[in-house]
Amino acid sequence: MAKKKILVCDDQLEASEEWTARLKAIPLVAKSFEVKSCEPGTLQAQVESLADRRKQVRSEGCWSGDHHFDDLDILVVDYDLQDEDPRSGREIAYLARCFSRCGLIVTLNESGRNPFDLTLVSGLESFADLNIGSEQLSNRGLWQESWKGFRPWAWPLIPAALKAFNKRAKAVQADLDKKVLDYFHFTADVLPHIPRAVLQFLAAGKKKPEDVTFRDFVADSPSCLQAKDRHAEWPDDVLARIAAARLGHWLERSVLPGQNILVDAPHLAARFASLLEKQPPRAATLNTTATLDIASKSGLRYRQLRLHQFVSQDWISRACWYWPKVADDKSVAEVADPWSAASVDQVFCEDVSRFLPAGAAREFVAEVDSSFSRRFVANPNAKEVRKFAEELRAVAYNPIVRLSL
Amino acid sequence: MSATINYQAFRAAVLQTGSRYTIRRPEDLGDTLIPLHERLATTFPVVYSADLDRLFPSTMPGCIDMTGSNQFLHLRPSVKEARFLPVLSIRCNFAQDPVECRLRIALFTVVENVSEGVPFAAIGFRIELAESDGIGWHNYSHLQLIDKFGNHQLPGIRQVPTTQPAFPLDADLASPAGLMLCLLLSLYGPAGVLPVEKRLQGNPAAPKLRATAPLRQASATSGTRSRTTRRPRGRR
Repeated sequence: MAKKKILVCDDQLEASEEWTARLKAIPLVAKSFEVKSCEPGTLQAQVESLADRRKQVRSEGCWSGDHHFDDLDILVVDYDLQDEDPRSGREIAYLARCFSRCGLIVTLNESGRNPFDLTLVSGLESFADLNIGSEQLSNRGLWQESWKGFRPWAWPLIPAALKAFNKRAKAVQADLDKKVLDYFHFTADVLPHIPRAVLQFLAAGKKKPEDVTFRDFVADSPSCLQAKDRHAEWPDDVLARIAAARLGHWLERSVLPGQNILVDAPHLAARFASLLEKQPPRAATLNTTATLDIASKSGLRYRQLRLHQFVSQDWISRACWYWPKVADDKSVAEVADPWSAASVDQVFCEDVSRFLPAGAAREFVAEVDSSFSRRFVANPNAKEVRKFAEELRAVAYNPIVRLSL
Repeated sequence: MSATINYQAFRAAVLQTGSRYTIRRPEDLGDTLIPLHERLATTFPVVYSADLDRLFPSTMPGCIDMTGSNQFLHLRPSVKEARFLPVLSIRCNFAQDPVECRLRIALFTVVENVSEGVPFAAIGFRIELAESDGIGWHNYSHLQLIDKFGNHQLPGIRQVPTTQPAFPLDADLASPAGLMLCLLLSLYGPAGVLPVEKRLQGNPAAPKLRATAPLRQASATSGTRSRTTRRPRGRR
């Protein structure tokens, strides 16, 4: 099978070659991907030709010709490219998403070389599918299921995310005129629980969010295309790719972080420990839920929850359930008798994607419209974290004001 | 008074309650109440103040049933009973004659060092308009105890009389908006209810509370005094 293509772009060749080399050192990446650095001096021309496509779309309604980015599976682009192109990585991500057929887009260093986002929601406006630091690009936990130490839970697994992106782009192309919220089964028992701050992303033209189709979203929503690009006649496959990227990003960066519309396995286990496959809820048992391998169905009683599972699994990087439905299901012990439920003494740490004793964690307040805004990161001074304390100390937790004193 | 006017006053009181008295930043609740709030939000899903108008639209709807739609208002604790978190559910139907308006409030707290039973306790009340105009046990606005809230038995309560006593409410408050003000008055005192009361001014169905009259008077007097006694600039 042909290897997937990754192109790493920076204005400084030395840096892009170093990132490329680090990626190649990961066996799984070396086996499945062909990783290249952008040739010196060529990036500006590549970006310029995307901008030409945009002009063509605005004047003629569509683009023609080939572009190097069309064949890329993953485009990695640094945020600051001043030596090569005046545009930021964010602008290039927009051009690449809308005016090429490239797969995933990863921007580097928009918030520093090794950041952790304590808001849990930043970057929704970005057309990149993932914003990370250059130090993090070669973190093995970004590429394969097993990890140790720092590995933010919000990250997807890149190979799985690429596959899922292509699948959902294809699926949505056949359903462009379907209503977005219906497609995701946000039905009458879930919809009232979606805060307006989350729904507003979908607003398109004069339509209510409930009535917005995938086509409306791309053509009319201010959360999607820039105003002058909205009136073009977009080819359906490009439209579907844009919708697949933007709405996937919305689910990951706006719907899921509050854990009160959709809830993922570790956050659900922390609330309803009776749903764990194995009892009692010790760290090892709880940690079996912190997996991005959806097919493994490990840790939780998937069968009991099957009616509440989020239907569009290619749209989000982990198994999720509709929280209002789970919270209303009397077959769950904690729902039937909320007052007798024992509380779990472990907390889920978002920066290391694992449970730790409450004493080994630091609280922070995520920027989410949710009662579950109190979250945790590992405390590098705790003995349970000793093995990767130095790694955590090198991370910039931002904005620091969100960490509890 | 028409049902529409009554609804608009009630809606304004509910939206004001949402924007002034719901918990916005759970982190401000403190170490004991944050886990309690999380537990309560799990059992009684939160409706946020910014989303209240989806439940209470500007055009008068039929029946609104927060418990039925599994959405609850999580209110800030009162200053004098800061250990308790109040959760509110509303059921109303302004198309009905007489208007149906029922507020159910439960106040939850954590019980420390529990040797047996559950580590939570609560007490709950319902505050209701007269249920009929004719002969009947509850043909007057009243307040009663409850033992269930949402679909759950209240923790720490085994036996309470839920029909009688039904304490009569102040006749001034015998309107839907009046019930809301009555509830706020009971939780946050006259000074707490005054801003909400002021926001209802101009609505013919807006009640005027006797409890806030001295504050209204004082604020009117101080306003007049400050206007008449203000010194000209530059003269000391």
